Amino acid sequence: MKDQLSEQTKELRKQYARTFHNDGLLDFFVGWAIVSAGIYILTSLTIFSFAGWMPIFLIAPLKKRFVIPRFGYAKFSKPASIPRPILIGAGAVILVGTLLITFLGNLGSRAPIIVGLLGIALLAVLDKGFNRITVYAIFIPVFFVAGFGLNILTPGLVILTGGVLMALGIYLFVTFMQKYPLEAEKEDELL
Amino acid sequence: MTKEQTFDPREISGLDKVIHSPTRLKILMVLMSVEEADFTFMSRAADLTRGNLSANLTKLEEAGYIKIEKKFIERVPKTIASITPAGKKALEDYSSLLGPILDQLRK
Repeated sequence: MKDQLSEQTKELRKQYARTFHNDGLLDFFVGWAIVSAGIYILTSLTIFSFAGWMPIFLIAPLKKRFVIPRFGYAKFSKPASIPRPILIGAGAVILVGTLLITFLGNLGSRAPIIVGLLGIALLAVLDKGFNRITVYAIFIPVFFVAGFGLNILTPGLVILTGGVLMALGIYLFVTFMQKYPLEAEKEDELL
Repeated sequence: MTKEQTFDPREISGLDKVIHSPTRLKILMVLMSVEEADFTFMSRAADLTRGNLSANLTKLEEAGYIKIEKKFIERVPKTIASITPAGKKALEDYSSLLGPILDQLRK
């Protein structure tokens, strides 16, 4: 019975976490990262290799501004994942590997970007498990590999895919805003 | 005969009355699923009005099943609740007691 209760609370936690992250913000910014990658492939303008990642810092402030006041704040405890030291160790190995490839390898300037992004994706999977967020984390490096390294994706297709994700993000965001309207702060919070 | 096979109606008296209320049970289930949550989250997740939630949070806090703190999150004061070890144990005991009773009723 205790196990059943534990299973039920685990399911609830997953359900709350899914709803909390169903605001479209991540989808929008992942879409933008892919669009930027496409523009970079097309134009080789360095600015777009950074432009895709810079707005990632906006996710947390936007979440605090729009999501938390509507859906509320919760800290989602999670079942024990990979121990932190192992995660940090894996991160260090990836970082050193990326630096070695950058300075010692002769694979060209794109290789470190690809290795670095794949490393981030691997760490995300180790830490968060395999879910929509980590699928996105894998999605972006795959586009870099397919677009840059293998030249099997045209810039137009990359930009289009990113655009679709951005549109999905906007749709999810609008739906979230409608589903969870802002509630006025009331005194009854003060017990 | 094991405990699961015997239905003794007297066992129902042993159910924790603080938890036995559907509203408080919902709140505890929500708090069991997260580490901590604010008032808005609990109200959404348990589908309760703010007044109802407030009254029942007080009862749970008095029973020692939850801890309520005032925290500033992004400079906004928030009522943050979390389940205590006593609350977790009470919910597990409640579940262990009610489960076999329900199983017997289904047979």
